Amino acid sequence: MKKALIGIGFSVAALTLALSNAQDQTTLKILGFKVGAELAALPALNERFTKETGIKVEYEAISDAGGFAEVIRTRFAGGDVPDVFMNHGRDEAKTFAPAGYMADLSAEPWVKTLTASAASVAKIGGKTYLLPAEFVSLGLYYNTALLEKAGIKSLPQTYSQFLSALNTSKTKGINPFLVPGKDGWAFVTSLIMATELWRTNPDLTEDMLAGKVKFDSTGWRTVFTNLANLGKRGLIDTTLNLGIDGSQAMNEFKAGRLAFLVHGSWEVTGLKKNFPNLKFGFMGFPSGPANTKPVGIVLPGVAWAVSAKSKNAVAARKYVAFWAQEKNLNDWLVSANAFSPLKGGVVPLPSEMKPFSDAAADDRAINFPLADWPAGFQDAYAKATIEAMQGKDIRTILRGLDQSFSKK
Amino acid sequence: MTWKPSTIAFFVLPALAVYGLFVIYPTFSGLLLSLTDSKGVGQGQFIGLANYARMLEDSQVRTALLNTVIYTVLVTFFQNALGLGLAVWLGNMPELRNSLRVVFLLPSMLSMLVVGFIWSYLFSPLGGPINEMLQALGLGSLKRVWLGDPGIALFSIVGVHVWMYLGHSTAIFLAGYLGLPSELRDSAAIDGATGWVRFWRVEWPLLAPATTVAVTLTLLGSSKTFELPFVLTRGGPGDATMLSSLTVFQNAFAGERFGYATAIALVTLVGVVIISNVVSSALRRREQLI
Repeated sequence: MKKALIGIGFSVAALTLALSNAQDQTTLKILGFKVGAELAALPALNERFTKETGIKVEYEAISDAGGFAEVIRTRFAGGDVPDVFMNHGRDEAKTFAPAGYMADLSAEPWVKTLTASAASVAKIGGKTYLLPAEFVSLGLYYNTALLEKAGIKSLPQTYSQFLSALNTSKTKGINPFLVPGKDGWAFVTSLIMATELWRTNPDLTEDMLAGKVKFDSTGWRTVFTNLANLGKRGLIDTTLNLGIDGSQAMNEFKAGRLAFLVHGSWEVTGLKKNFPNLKFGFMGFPSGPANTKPVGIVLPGVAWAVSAKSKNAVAARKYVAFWAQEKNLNDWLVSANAFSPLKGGVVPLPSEMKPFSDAAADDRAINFPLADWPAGFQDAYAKATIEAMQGKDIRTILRGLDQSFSKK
Repeated sequence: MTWKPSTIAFFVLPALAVYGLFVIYPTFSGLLLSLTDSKGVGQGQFIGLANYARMLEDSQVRTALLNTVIYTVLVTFFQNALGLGLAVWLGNMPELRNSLRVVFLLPSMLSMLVVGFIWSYLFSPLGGPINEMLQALGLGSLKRVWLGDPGIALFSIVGVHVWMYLGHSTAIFLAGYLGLPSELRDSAAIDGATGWVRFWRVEWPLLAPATTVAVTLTLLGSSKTFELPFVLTRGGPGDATMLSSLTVFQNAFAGERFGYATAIALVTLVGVVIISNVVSSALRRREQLI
């Protein structure tokens, strides 16, 4: 009896100690939009963080399709804030930082390690609120086997060569190109077709914001006319494209039934792993005239921020600092096929991305312009691209865009 | 028995408090929000009726309101017409009635989002089952880009909505149909009324109470539809399937115009309340003619 009582006593004491330890351990609540295969190295990094610091991490994933942008806004408005949360570049920060929802990270030591472009993404109103964890890219996927089958010997470098490649593919019975219009990929395609405008005027975004360059101008007219002509020339089936989304188009590419597709670099790992027989590459978009080379788009992908009202502010800052360490960040970058935001940061990219990384190294990559365009303008631009594909008058569309742009 | 006012208040106040907290307060709070330029975070500035004035110039809102009316009318008509037809059929098929009633109700037990994703796959123009089936049946000329053609996209979504909630209307009409006095049917049969004449002259007027319930519920349900067009088309192509609920969502979350979105929501609410009251009153008057 005595032994049993002692045993129970020890058990209760051990349980109490364990519970008290568990209560002492800080648990960070993290909200992000990366789900499924997109999580890449995130779970392993979270485990490493817990091992190194003793701080537990609870990562809650809400996909973009599942309404991440809406959920996080509602949570902030309701006071149910995560300690750390993901941003799409600076999309959320542009609204949340001025509203006082984000902690000022300007004094963090890692701020000095950011490249100039990463530092500019991280700053709102002169203060640093974000750690940009990656720069992802938008470019043109091509199916090497289909191009060979069509007799296309070299990758298109100019827009006329691109049209020629589409024509050749089509005549050989190959679906040449898709511009999915059900979600955002039609406007991404139109933006990458517009990279020629930034190649000739690197200050185009600033000029547009200052009202010096309008949408109803020669350059944008050419871009939208080129987009509309893809359907008019029978290179894409406009109605079909308006009825599919980016993932459906990517599925066609994965199935080896599509020659070209504009999409993001984050698909490369999945394509290599799950479709080992698919021979493909990823390049900038051939948007320019003769004697020019393809241009890609880079954009800040995941960026970390700390809630101003986090109850675990110290631990939250530690988590962001952990991500800013090169060895940790590189694991993420390799798994996401992304470029580094750190000074001197070099990440090995798959060979399929060489044409794109060559373009980036050759300074043939522009920043994603939507990040600097007025909030809410994206919808108007997306609608305009669909209207152009539907064959509506280009100048009327562009004048409408100018009106929307100036109203925002 | 006469109850004291304090006793009545004792029973009524809790319900009133809940109603006030979850219905009255949000409505008035929304009204105030619609008079601001709120972005959904932080405090908005008071801008009077500017949001309502803006709606008059916003072609997307006009299109969305018109689409909502078309959508609501089509869903209300087809869901109830088909539901009534099925109810009459099931009413005369006692051996199949119970099992088929459950089968027809099954789609409505699924989440609307799930239904949207399932139909997005079925409608796919890239090897989607519907087009493939048409092809296999030798009806290849009927293949369509169901969600990409502005001329049919709204009707495709109407079809999904009707498929999903057909069982509801069927169940309501069936309950009414089975409750009809059999002696009236027998009397009509003796008088020589059979088939369509018996249905149109005797059964249909007697189904007035069921019609009121089914039509009112469908009207309210379809006028606030959001998930199906959100998943299937996001309002596109262009604004072909833009409904007022989607406009509210896009303005609030993508456009960061909470004040404006609330104004659109309130105008839609007022419209739905007026229309549903008019229809409901007309249907109740019809009930009194029985």
